[in-house]
Amino acid sequence: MIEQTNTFYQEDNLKKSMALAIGIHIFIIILAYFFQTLLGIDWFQNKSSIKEIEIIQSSVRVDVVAMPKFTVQELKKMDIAPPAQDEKTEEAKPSVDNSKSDIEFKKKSKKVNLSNLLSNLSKKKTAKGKKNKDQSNKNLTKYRNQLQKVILEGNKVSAGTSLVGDSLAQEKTEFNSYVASLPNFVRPHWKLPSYLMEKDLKCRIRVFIGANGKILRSQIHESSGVNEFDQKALASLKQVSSFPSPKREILARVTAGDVILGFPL
Amino acid sequence: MKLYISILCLIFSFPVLAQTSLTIVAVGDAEQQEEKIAFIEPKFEGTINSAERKVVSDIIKIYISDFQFYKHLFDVIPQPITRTIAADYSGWKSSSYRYVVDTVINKDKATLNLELKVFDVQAKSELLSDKSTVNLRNARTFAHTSANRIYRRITGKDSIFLSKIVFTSDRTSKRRETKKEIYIMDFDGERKQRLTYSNSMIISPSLSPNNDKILYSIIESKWRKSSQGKIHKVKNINLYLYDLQSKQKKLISELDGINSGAIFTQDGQSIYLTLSNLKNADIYKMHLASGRKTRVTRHFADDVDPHINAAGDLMTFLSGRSGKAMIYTMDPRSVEKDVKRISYVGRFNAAPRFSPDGKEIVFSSWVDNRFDLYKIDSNGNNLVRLTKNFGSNEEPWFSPDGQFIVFTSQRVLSRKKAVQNIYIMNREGEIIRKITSKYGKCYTPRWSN
Repeated sequence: MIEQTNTFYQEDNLKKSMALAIGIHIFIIILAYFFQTLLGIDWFQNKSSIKEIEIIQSSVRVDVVAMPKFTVQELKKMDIAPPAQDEKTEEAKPSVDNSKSDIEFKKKSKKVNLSNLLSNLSKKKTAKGKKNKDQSNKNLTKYRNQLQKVILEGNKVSAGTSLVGDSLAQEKTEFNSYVASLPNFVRPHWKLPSYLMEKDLKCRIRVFIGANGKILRSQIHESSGVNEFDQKALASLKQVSSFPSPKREILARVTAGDVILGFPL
Repeated sequence: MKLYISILCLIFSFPVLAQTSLTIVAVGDAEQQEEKIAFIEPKFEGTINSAERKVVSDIIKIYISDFQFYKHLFDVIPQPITRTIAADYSGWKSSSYRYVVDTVINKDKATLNLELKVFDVQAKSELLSDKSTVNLRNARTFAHTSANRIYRRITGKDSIFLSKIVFTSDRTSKRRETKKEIYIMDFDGERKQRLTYSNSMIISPSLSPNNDKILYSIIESKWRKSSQGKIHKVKNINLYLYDLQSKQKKLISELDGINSGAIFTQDGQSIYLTLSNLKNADIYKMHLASGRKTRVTRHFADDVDPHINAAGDLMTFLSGRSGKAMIYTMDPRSVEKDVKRISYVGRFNAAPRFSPDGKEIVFSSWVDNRFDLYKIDSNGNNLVRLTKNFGSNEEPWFSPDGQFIVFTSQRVLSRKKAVQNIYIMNREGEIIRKITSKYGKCYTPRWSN
């Protein structure tokens, strides 16, 4: 009998404390998110706590149908690849593409954080309108013509339709295509002396980009262990005068430093 | 209990909070940064005559010329810089130079001493400081040797500055009869020297791993009895071995047909060669001392022009088994083992050669009525073009450090006249310079090991 009352007492107590704890924590979570997004502070930057790290790479498929027409030297001198937005050249119908990416937003939103979810939602509302479509159609015909030429000439380097590689799973969100375009601006300045090149080092730098495309701040996210290497990577970023200005819907993520540049990966 | 649960909840709540999604994007491999290197004009101490001054200034010129080959690594100041400030790194701090090389000459009785100092201006350190006696009679070798020392101190690797190039030239040809002899020269085209006096047509020379022997083939006439019993003259390609020390040649193989395209194995004890005594050309391995032959390829199509990697476990060769001359690789330690086709395009491919690390193959391919050079990974990936609008380019061969490719380039001047010279480019296809000129038509350059 005594035991019973005891457990009753305990259970009652447990329920109360549980409710209290849950309440407090929901409050803390909301508060933390509020502050985090408001002030752009990242309290949880320690590596082990970051759940979701996505690696994106622009892939290129090369079909060898004849001996290459351009030499290495010529390719080096050529302009950097067409902007990431236009990399869909080979995907047949843009309308299909849109719906596809919408489905994948939903899929992804299950595991994504609040701010991401919000930004995705906001994007959904404005779902690629007519204007956008026209634009992409224009680009499409332009690049299709170019592609036709290249195919005729034999040496074809096409933006990946990802038959191989891990880019298959990556939907091209606004954010991703923006991020994928960044290396093109850094690469011309990314140079190393010979003795550092052979060491096979790697560092990752987190960048905070402002509304005008200027780099607000860059910090070493993962050091290579060699100071000079890290400094060279930082210096290459400093030499980038500015990135293209990010669109409004991705501005929050970009200024919050969700972008990490991998040197080399 | 309450506290315990609260703490537990708190702990579990953190990862939820921390779900910042970060997106990593690869910038890719860095480009090589060219380092500025400057050579200070020499400082003379004591009484040094003008002839000696000339030798010393030539040495500095050779330093500059040598380093200019590595233009993907160094931005060389083309003239010696004037000595205006104290020559150590502190004096050059405000300059953009990364490395500064200083030479001080002093005379001790009859010997001329050269003190060499290399400074890393940015790291504020002295990299090298040594003194050596200038060999006045062989100043060129002395210059290449010390240039190599500077290069090795900076990069940690040996340069090409002491390497040689063996090639054939038709400069001894008489009117109608083409003769080709073997010559040897420094990597920069200086000090050409004739090696053979065969008065015949020499093809496909190949150096031994320690550069003391050369394998080559001669197109010779041979008397042969036909099936009807008649004796008639036929052309036969026979294989010889030339010893650079004793300057003696020795017949290695004179079977009917082709005995050519020979290359040494890494131990220098055996060779791989093409034989066609069984009508169709196949590749064999032959032990030099015993003459024992083992078959490497066995196919009804012709297999020619073998080249092996440094490890000796991969051979690349040319084969007509697909109907066109295409590049294949295989394991040469057994017959027809792991044969893999590497090239799938091109009308006619020729002369596949491994890079020293065996990771790449450079070859020439017939495109638009001429040969151009291409490079491909040994596994068949990454086909890239190296030359274009640069005459007809053939016979590529990697430098011992893998940074350069030597090749021949032909310019047709008129219907009957053409020039063919040897050029060097870096592994990215950037032409460095022409190293032969007015030396007949030059063929088959082979870089020493």
